[in-house]
Amino acid sequence: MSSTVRFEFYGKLRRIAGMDYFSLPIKLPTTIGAAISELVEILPELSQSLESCACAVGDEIVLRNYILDDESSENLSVALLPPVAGG
Amino acid sequence: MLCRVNESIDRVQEADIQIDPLLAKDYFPECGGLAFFIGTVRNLQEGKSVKSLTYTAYKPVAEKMIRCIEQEIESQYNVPYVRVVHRIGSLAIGETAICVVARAVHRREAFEACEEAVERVKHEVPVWKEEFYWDGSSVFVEGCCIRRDRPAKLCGHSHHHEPREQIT
Repeated sequence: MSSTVRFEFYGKLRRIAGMDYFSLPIKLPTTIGAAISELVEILPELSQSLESCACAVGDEIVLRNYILDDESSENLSVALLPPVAGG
Repeated sequence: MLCRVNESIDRVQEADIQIDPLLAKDYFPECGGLAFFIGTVRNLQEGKSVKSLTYTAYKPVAEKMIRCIEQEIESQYNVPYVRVVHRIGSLAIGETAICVVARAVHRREAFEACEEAVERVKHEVPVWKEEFYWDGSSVFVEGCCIRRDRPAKLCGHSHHHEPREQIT
């Protein structure tokens, strides 16, 4: 099933990508890891930085094998979190 | 048991941090120790003159994670109260970026719980810091990787004093 995954960029990713988010057309179900691979084909400048990025769906940090499907709209938005530097 | 004092305070906020209520001085009569840390924006970083900082955060995880860290530290040090508030947005030199408070029966646990909370929030919570310099350049401070399934080749931990990626 064709759908769209919205990748939200945080920290330095926003500067590198030149945008706050990117909506990736994708076939579901898929994993976040697979979706990121497709994202990198379109935005190769993110490739190196994405290696050290955590992923979050809603208020949970999830692994790259997290399944994105059409059962919940919340599943279709993924936040990409570079190394953190608060405080 | 979950500590309810100041439970509703946003842990990540754009408004100035109100420190006095966060100290919860009217509570915890059994506590003789109160330790707090305030992190402020300084004007120099590795020899470069800083004009301002901008903090950003992924709030859904940051809020939840800070609350979890507070509860874990309260349990770890057996103290009744740990609270952390982090500011986001643009901050001028001298402004408060983070406030951490710990109450304990004795000073040792108060100091230790407070320090632990500072370290964990700095290294675990999705907050990012962008430094703006007077020469017109800016950098995102490279911090700690929180990806839990990172490839083995990546360094397990990095600190703010490591070389950073400069964007001009």
